[in-house]
Amino acid sequence: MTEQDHDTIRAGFDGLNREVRPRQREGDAPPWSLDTKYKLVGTRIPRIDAVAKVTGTARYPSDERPKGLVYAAILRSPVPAGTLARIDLTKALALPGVAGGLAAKEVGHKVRYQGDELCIVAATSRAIAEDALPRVDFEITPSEHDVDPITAARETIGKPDPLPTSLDEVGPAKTDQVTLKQLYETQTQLHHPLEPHGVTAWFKADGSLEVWASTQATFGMRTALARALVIPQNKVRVRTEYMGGGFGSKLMPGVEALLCARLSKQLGKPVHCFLDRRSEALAVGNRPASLQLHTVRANKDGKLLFWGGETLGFPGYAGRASIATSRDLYFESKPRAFEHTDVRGNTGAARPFRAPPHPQGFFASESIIDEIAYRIGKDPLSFRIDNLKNPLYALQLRTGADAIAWDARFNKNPGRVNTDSRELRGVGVAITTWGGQGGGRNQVRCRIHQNGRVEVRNGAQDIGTGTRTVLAIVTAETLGIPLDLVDVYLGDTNDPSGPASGGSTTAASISPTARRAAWLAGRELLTALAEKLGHKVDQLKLEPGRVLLPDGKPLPWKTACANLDNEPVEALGTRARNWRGFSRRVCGCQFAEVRVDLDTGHVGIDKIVAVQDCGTVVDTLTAESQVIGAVIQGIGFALYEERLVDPVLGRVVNDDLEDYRLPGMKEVPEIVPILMHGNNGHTNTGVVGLGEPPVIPTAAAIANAIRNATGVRMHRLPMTKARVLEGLERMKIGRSS
Amino acid sequence: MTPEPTESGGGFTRRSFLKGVSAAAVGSSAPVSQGPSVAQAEDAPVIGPDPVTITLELNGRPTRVRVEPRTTLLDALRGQLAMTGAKEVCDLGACGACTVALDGKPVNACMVLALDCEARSVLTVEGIGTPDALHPIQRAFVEHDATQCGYCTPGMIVSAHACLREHKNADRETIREQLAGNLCRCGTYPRVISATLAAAERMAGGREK
Repeated sequence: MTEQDHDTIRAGFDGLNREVRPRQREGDAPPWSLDTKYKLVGTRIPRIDAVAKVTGTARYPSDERPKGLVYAAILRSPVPAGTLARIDLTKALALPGVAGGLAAKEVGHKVRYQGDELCIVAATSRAIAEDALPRVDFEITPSEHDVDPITAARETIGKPDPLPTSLDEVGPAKTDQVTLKQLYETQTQLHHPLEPHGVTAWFKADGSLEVWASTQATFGMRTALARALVIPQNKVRVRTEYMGGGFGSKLMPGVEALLCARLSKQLGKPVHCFLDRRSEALAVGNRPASLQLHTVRANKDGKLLFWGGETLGFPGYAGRASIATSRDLYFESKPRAFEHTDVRGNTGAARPFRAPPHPQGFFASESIIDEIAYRIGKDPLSFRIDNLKNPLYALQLRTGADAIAWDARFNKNPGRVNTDSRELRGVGVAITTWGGQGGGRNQVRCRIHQNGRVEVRNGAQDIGTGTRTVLAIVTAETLGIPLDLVDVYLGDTNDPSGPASGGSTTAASISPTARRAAWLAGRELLTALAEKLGHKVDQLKLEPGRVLLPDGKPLPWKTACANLDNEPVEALGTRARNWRGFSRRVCGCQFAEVRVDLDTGHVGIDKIVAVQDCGTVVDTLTAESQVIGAVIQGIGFALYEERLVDPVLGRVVNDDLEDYRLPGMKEVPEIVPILMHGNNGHTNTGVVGLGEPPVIPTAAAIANAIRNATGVRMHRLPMTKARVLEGLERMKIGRSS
Repeated sequence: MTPEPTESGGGFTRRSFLKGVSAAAVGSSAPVSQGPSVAQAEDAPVIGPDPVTITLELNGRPTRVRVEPRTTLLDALRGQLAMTGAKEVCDLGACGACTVALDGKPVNACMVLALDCEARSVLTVEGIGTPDALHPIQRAFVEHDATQCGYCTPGMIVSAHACLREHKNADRETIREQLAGNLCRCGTYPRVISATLAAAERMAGGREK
């Protein structure tokens, strides 16, 4: 098929847009643009699978109970480092009710962290499997461990200073300049999706493997399991009709999935292996901690002259940390100005966690840029508007400032305590960015049935973002039919291939494919009708909800479909390449309004305004939910969440949901999502991903609001009451005597 | 199955735990092990009766189920009874995902022994409404998009249902208070509150029960 240029379309946003030239394959659906008038797209549509979710009828992988099922439990290392000297499952396997087991490590293998898998045991009930674990005879020869590399690194970061050369390039500081050098620290955050990691795996007599997996990547899971069992991919079927959250930690198949599949093959029975909460805290990923030493120089006119530093990430025994900051958004040129090193330790490995590694980098960078604005006597909002290079930020920052009433709420005297109140108030702002353009190779099958119903199939998963609903809306809009005629089937690798749900790319990757599939299926319908009714296909026209016959007579959708013979018509849409659209990045900003209690250090958030763009907003209702949810995870990162490891014992101290504090119903303020409705114009839908960008700026916006209220700059997450009190004490703010 | 005495059967024993502690603390070569040291207790007397059959009223229907004394209500529901609406998340009574109503009061099913439900009524999300006959709370959850991944949703629905039974005119603060035991990781809280509030208003308006 050849690509061809089309007429230009208008892309971007009302108030900030330009013409782009689509490069589409022949016969593709015409691209939507800023000028498209929609019936459904952009309205507020309840997600189409909500009824299943609110009635408990949605089947999650952990709910599957195939006949003959046995339940597995995993034995984990109690120590963070050592060598496996002995492992013997005999006694465990002898317990009545135990079906079988497998060692996960061989003698001589290293134990790399507390929670490292030693073996799996399955039994007729999970209680019996758990009873069997203490009967496993094992010995680990411990070795020295380091679970707390960050403590030592606090003393050594910046020594030697990696900056002198680059800072020298901008010359010695002049009297009209301010140079700030500050150390920021972020904690290890745990994903804690509510549905634990795991699979139910069933190796059948015919040599095929059927797996119900709580995963963000059905096809990735299929590949990994086929490899682990050395069977062809087409013998593996992975199903994820629903799944209970992942946030990045379920992008890769974990050890538990591979062990479970191997054990099922050994037993010839379905094996249910879903982790307990403690394992969730130890072994399935985290957002790695960081130390970041930033140096920024600006002149008193508000021009940024230099920004660089050294950053360290602490990903545990494996995985990657790295850091992404907002620095480049303030500079035209992008010289390399940060030195980054990952420092390993004997703790569970980092995994991608919603917008890796931006929230940690943006906490530091959006804090120091805020601080330098104060130091040169500028309003941190207008300082950003003046310095940010992408003009979309100015538009968004002004929109958000209006919504939070910045001018009225901005505390002009941070830290000044009135006699009648033990509380200080302030507002703060921070920005975000992300890519999320989508792409890859995926396919969507669209079938139009005799009864007028339309069936849409893709093998990827809906992780709770609303992918199923997005595909239904795109299909209904493309065919001009009511939404309730569309049935979407997701999460089965027997259906056409789909993307992993990571990087905010799912909707951007498959919505263009779904539109193309629906468009092509519509053409097939016309072809079938033309044959049946004795017309030429180009004499027929598909209009919203009807087919126009050569004589101008309309055939309503259902009547048209009733003319189909026994077979439905169908088409397979394939993903076209992106062309150059309005922007390669999305932008966003958040504003926080806080109250700081001077006696307790409690930070109360009154309101968060989140301005975000994501190209075409397919469903305003579910898109807003994404933004609200991201902000709440950002609040957890900012104020509450922190994995704590005892440096001597090497063990995670808060390994349950009682001691690891997730934000709850009472911690959540008023959240105002403001979506910029637009169209990025890079595909036939112009959709860009949304899940990740709004989790990035929340912590910095809150820190900056605390700064505006109290004059205290918070350098470390989470900003607990104790740390806020320390900061107040350091600045001697609000002392009662 | 016969449950093991807790001293020999319970996870990492105090003894092996302490051994592990000292080994790691000094980084010495003392091995961390389990097995031989706990095996001697094997011929200790068996504690606890065999599985027993109980009868409870599940979503309005008398239901019999055979459970071990240690089986929680949640395990009985999700396992033997294949009623998987209530979810297991924390196994600690800390998250509310397994909330069911026991004799009308919301409880964490992971913290209740199935045996203790003999002759009592248990209401799960499946008993509150069905896809063809949604309860007003469920309908409001759909309309307000109070679900994302949906794993906390069954517990939220049961808690909201119990809240509105007790507080007919619940306001935002009451709902926030009554549902504070239900955790959500996707961040549906604001929409759970507005949905429950909308349902309360509808139900109080007498248009729906």
